[in-house]
Amino acid sequence: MQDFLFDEATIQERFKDFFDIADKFCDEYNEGQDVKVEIDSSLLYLAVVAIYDDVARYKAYHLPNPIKQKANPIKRAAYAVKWLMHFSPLIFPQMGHATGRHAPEDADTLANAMFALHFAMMNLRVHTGTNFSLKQEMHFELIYDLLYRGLTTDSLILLFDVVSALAITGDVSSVIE
Amino acid sequence: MTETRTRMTASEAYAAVSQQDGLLYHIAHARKENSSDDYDGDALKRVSAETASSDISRMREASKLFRDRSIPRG
Repeated sequence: MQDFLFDEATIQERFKDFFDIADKFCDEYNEGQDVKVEIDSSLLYLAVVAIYDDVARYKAYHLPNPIKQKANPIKRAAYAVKWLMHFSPLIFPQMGHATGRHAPEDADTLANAMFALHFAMMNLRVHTGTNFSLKQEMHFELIYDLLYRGLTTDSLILLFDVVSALAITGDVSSVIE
Repeated sequence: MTETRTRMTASEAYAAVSQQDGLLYHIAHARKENSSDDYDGDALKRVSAETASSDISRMREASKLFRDRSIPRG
């Protein structure tokens, strides 16, 4: 199993890219806000390593030749949602990391859910070659489930497969008949 | 008063989490072989820059629905 894991140089590359993306996301998130969100580097690092360990485990179990075959970005998107919600690397230090000042959904957990969904959609956009957006109701449903329900990684992979198929074809016949 | 946030570059952040005497060092270091995936970091950063603002606006609008839906959907 050790041999199938992503190596140190790759983890370093992915961490730096992830950090840059999270940094820009924080800038956008903080626009016009009095309380600023920022990145806890250690928590982000733990999330990045866990994401790629999960991708490697998925490959080792499901692919006939996991060394040569590549995982597609849908797996990265799903495992990123799982681990970003678990480690919650976006924090509000000036709030003393306190959540729920105004409402249960108005704090760290919501910021991390939004970042997790943005990161997932961004991977699906690159994967499909389409800068699609989810509708408001779908955003609400996903955020709600991330905050209050349980979404397994397998269900996220299936959901992201369906969304990707719809984004590529623009046709429901790619999913149902 | 509007707060400012701590600034750090990606390289500084990685240096901070990968110090050999740190608790996190062992997690991803000294791996010899590697796995791979379909990855284009530059494309991810470009698409993120293009869509982050719109995504955040859309998700903030969606999150307002929490205030109208105190009873979870069944």
